[in-house]
Amino acid sequence: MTDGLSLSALSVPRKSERIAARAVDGKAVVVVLDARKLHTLNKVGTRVFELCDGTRDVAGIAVEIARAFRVDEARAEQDVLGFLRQLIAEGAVELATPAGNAR
Amino acid sequence: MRAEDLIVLLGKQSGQSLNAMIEISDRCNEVCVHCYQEQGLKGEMTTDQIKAVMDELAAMGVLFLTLSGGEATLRPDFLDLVAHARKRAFAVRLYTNGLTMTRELAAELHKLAVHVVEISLYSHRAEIHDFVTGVPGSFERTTAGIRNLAELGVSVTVKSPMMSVNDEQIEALRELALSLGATAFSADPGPLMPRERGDRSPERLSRSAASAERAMATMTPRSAPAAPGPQLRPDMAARLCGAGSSLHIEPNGELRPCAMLDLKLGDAREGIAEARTRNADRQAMIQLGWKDLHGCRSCDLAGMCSRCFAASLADVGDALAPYPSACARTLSKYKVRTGSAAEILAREDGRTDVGPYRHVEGSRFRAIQHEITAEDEALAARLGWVRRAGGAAADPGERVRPGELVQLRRPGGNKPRLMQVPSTSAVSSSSPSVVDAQAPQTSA
Repeated sequence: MTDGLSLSALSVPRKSERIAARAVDGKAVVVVLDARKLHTLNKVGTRVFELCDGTRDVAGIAVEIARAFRVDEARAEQDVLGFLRQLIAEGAVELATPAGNAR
Repeated sequence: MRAEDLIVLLGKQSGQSLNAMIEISDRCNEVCVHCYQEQGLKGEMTTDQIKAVMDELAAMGVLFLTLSGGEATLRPDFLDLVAHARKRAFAVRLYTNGLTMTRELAAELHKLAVHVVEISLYSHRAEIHDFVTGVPGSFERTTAGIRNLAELGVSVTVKSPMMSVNDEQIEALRELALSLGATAFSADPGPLMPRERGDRSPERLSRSAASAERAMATMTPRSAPAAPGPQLRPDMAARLCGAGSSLHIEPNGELRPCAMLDLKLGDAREGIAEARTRNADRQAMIQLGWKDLHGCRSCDLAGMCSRCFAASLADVGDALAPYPSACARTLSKYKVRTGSAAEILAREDGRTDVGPYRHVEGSRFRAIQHEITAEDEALAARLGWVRRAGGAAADPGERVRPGELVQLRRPGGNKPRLMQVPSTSAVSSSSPSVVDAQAPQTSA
């Protein structure tokens, strides 16, 4: 289980394997299967969720969000961190093991 | 808002189908006496064909994928198909009878993060469940399967239709289901449906009107009370049911409007989206409304009626006509919601069992003969499928009563078989009690 508290700008988030998800009218609908919970994300949340592909770190995601939604990068990073903590707590996202630590 | 309601709302708002069902198996290891299916007639898609169908459903935006049968787990490639569905990020629902649900299979399903497993269990009493399934020992195997899943944390919904052999003991079944670890229990109060190809044998297990009314009163608290007298007519353009909107795929790849209606809308292997767009029957079906129902559109009780094309075809041979089982259900609903039974005056030929009904006064209505217009005939000629070749299906015969020795036809059987209907009265000394029936599993 990923600990959302250890999340930092260098963390690399990825979608949990125990979810189901689709885009509906451009917004993500995410089912966390073990919790049997359904979440609908807004446009910004959907983009953040899409970018959780296990290759980008949080800082990289924040840069993309800042560019796409024309907001300050520092502000975007704080918002992305807060949002990812929620997704991690809900079981929709987990942190990928950094490549250097792979066994 | 409940997740199911939210999904319906999202689907309506977006026009995107979020639910689909693939019957992956045309075989079953039970022969349930009420089952609407006939197995072994269609054949099955190959592994690659089913995977390709799943790929297209994912591309279309389907989120919830139900895998059903027959008995889905009988396919040797069953787990491979579930794994593929999960790779495509579906929330997978599995419909199963639980007979094959060993701990090993349950563990695989948990590993694959299956959303929910829905298991049919028909009674808290082994002899009644086994009578329904036609498989001795099925109660013990199914309850063990439920436990295996629940112990591993897989969500299990136990479900059963309400029939004459179990409807008095649904609460005991609910208690058993929850004690086995099920996360939910669902008893379907709806009518038993005819089998595909029109065999109405399952209807012999239907509940009495009094039992249906009790279920309506206790299980549908959302139905608001209504004033006696004529009921507000439905919107004449309103859809009659979800047929044609839902995505239902038979084991051989045939696209159908729903699980019940034996009408081919295309072949999923040749493209689902294209078939849905181009098939003329589907396009016409999703346009059908109350305006197209001769008789029903002028019924003063239509506002309380719910219909099914498949049931209507079997009952009277016409999908757009009034049919007795819908009328009976509507009269039950009228009684429950208004608190007074409708008195039906006979029409010229003496019939009271079928509408349309015209209000006379108070809760008194008259059954009336109705006109089938030239437009109705033209519509039927254009659609074709709304009239059943040969007219109504053969009458199912007398409703079976507990304790009777009766001839009943099971799926796949050409001839009815003689069988004893179990008694539904209190558990007899010779019947296994719930505790006894579970004991071997608990101690194993």
